[in-house]
Amino acid sequence: MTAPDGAAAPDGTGAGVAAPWGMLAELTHRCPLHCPYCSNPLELVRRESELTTDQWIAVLDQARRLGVLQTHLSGGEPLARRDLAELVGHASGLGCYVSLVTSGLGLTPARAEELAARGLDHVQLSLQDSDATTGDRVAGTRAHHHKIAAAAVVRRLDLPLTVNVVLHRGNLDRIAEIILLAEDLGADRLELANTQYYGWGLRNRRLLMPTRRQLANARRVVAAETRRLAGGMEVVYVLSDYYGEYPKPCMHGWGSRQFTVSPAGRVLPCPTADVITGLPAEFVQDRPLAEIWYESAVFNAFRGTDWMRDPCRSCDRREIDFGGCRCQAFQLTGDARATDPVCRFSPDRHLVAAALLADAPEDSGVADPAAGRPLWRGIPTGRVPRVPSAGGGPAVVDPCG
Amino acid sequence: MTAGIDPAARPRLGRGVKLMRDESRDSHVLLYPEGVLLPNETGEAVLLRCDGHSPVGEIVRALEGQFDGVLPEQILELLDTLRGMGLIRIDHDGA
Repeated sequence: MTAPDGAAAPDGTGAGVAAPWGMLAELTHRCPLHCPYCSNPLELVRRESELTTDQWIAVLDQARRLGVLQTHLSGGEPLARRDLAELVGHASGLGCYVSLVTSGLGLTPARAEELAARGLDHVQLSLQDSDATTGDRVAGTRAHHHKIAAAAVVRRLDLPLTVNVVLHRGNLDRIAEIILLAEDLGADRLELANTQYYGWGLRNRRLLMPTRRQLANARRVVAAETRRLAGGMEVVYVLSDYYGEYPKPCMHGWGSRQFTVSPAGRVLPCPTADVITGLPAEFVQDRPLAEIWYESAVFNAFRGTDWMRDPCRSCDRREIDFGGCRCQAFQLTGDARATDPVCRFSPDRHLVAAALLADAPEDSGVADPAAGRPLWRGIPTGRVPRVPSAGGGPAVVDPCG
Repeated sequence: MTAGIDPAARPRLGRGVKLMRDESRDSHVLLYPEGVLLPNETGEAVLLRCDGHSPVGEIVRALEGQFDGVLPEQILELLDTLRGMGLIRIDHDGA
């Protein structure tokens, strides 16, 4: 998220901490898709533990009072919540900009019209691939044609459309086709994000990690297509930080601009922060959101720069990338205070180098990630989701069912 | 490069872009799909006139009258920057 410069610098005590701009509301973890790079936690919140409509309304009220202007209604598949239109209407009525982050499954014309009428501002639609067969295999269900239909519905309503594609070994060779498809779908913006290796993605890293040749080709294609599309569809390409010299400025700093609320009401500085074991759990049911944002131990744990050790503490880039990603540091080194190991100055950089060596395959024999039995989200290890063939009967997908 | 801006063109907010008053920050804010911008006083005055009705020439004159030391080039530059970010459109018919 872009926020103005000159926001008050957090000092780790809550004093001088700026108000948040954005909230990612994960309304549910239920999802008809099972993508092996899903950003949801490995342990998914069950339906019976989800916040009620009234609780979400209270969260939205508190968030707006706290300063939140951007609300991303996400999941899982947020359309699985029957009260989605009510929540969209409430957020919009508070003056928030409301984005729906969706797989497109369940976005019928009637449902979309209702959401638009309630004030939905923007739709971010995920797409797995330009090719229906491989896309469906990655999604673990017959999803592709629903997504194409959903994009048409969004365009007919004249809502701004962002298409988001997670890139990996199995679809990178079709990056040109993916860009053309997004253009055909009428996207205003296309986010091409290489898989980041957290949670499910980390478990499936061996199957997802692209080859150097694929990445070099993708860079060429994206550069040429960005030139061709200048003034039209915006293309944003994000490389996995494993290939960078420096870490990404994760969340623009911990507890600096936005927060996430899980389906069960847990408030976290980022959607994956629950991988860091030992962080105290803060729930909206137990404590006012403002108190959690400004005063809680979890939001102050890595705020600002006081928590840093060397090499971050004395680094010129400490206010540029904030030490990188705390989740990645924890997952790779076991220490959430460590410098993000993707950084060239990290003493743990060898862990990333080793992963690139071990998991990035030779340029010959590029495998489809689905062919190597990934760990599909929400499906017990070893089981392969059944994807109905294209010749099968009409696929009725009801994410509420 | 501001040569491309016609004084008769009528700027308006881009698709999916909203300008609103944020009481908690005592300022107008520009909201768009991936972000938020907090304009300064001059920026706010320009954005409030990107209504699809006011021609560029009129916006420049109004701002010159409202703020001391604001040059027409600076306003054209700001309009061009906002256009480049997709936050405003500068159409000739304003329709």
